[in-house]
Amino acid sequence: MKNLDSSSNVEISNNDLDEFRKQWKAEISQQKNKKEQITQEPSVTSPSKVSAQPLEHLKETEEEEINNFIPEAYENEEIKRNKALEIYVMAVTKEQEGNLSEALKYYRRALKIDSHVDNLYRKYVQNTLTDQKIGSLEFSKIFSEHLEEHREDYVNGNKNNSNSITHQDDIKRRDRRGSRSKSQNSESKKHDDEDQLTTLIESFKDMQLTLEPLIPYNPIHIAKLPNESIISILEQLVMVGDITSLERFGLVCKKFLLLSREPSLWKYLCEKAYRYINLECNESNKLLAKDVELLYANDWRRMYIERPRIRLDGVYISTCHYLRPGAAENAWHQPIHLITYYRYLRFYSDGTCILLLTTTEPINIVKHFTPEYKSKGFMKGTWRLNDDQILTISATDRESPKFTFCLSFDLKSTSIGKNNKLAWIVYTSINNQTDEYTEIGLRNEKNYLFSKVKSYSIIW
Amino acid sequence: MYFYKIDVGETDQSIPLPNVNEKVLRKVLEWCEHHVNDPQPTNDDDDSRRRNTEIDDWDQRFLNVEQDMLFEIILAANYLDIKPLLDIGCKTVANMIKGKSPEEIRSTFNIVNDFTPEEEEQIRKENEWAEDR
Repeated sequence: MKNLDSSSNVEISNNDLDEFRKQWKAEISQQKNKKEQITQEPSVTSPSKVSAQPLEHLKETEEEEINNFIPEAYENEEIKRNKALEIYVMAVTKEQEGNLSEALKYYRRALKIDSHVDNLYRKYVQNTLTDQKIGSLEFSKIFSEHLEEHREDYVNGNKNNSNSITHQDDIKRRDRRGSRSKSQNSESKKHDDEDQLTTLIESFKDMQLTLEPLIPYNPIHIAKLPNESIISILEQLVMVGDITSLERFGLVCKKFLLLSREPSLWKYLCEKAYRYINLECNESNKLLAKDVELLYANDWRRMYIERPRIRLDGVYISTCHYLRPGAAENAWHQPIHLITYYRYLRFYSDGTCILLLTTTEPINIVKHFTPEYKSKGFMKGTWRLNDDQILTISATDRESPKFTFCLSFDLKSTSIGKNNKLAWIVYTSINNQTDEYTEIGLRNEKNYLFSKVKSYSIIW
Repeated sequence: MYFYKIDVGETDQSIPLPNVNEKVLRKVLEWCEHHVNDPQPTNDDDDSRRRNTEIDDWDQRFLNVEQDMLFEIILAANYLDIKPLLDIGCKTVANMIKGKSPEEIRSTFNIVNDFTPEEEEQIRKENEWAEDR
């Protein structure tokens, strides 16, 4: 079935290529005429021209493709290249027909006009092929319709503000169509990339994926396992929250990539990471299933990447300094001490957290920093993150049980990672006996930054 | 094909084991005999599984075998539905993956990279969020 499809597709594409060449040649000569007439027209990008064209030029799409492969250049340069390419295409046609002497003549002429025309041509063929590949993914028969659709699009002038659309955008746009997502323009580049990746992954799904040995003739023992067992192995990574390893596993080969995207793994992660603590487990899961459907297009992995969450696989540290004048020995010598202190904050999945205020450096704290830690300035508390990414912590110090401390932060991301910054909002203490409420100054305080700690395994 | 008699209460039934060879079966039985007095896992499957984040010393020694055998044990445990053995087997393999780069994982399991450089780059970019710096 698959074979049939792909062979028929090759046929279509060959015819298509021929037709394409004819149209394109016609178009080039026309373009030349036009440019001679209207010289003041700025360097013409194809889409704008398309919208201005009358109906007889329905087949602009293909013509536009050629323009895409030509780097932006001045008009004359462009014409020169077009000409070279045109001749080169003729040469290729001749060669395919078996007329080698003719072909050679054309090749020479083309190379004389533009010595890089062969590269240009290769680019164009490659892009045409990619276009076809995408078309043939799941619906090779639709390929022709797909082209047809393009034409209609251009005729209807759907492509507004075409002047600003770069060639790359055009190519991406086509890819997107290939992947069936009929989304409108205006998506960010990121989404384009994602779409392309989805297409890529989709294409892997259609393939018969096998594992090939790195060292030939050596056995691949893991190939013995059925997919479900490999997923069980990945579950073990997920259960300890080791997503770094899971994502690296996906980079090994195509088959492993597909396995690493297994939705049940990401669903499990989301159900743990975004657990509504005030609800029963299955109620919470039901609510999350709704969230992922409404907000993340049913993509659990996307939810896990995009939805803010407190990180549990490390510690948030705030490093603060202040100056303290030292005791003066005489009038000419006034020492000033720079005091550095640290605030540590570690979160657990059950809604508890531990806090520490100390002058001891991270290297001596981090590995011992557990709820069993004993020190002055150590507090235990509970935490909650609301929908607006506001984190609230209420904590108590065993040594001063009279007070409850309330900290609130804005959970933020930095350029080096997500959810790795806690920006202070307010810090208060409440006297448990009198309910008296005192705001603690944040003058010296610095925001917390996250550091991953390898030895901290997440226990959901 | 091996048949092994397992006591299932009042009647002795033969269970066909088409996928399990003798060497592996012996290994699996060795494990079962050692763990015969383990408490039954509770209904709360998830809970009991996550509590065992560590593999105990005996199991570690038991699973300190060639990859070939390790995967055979996992297959058998899966087929025979011996959850705890399947779990520690998978955990052992997971530990072989942990903290390794894709390149290292490939050489661990003797798997060739079948991505084109462009594909690999694209996926690497897409997976970058999970890398901690």
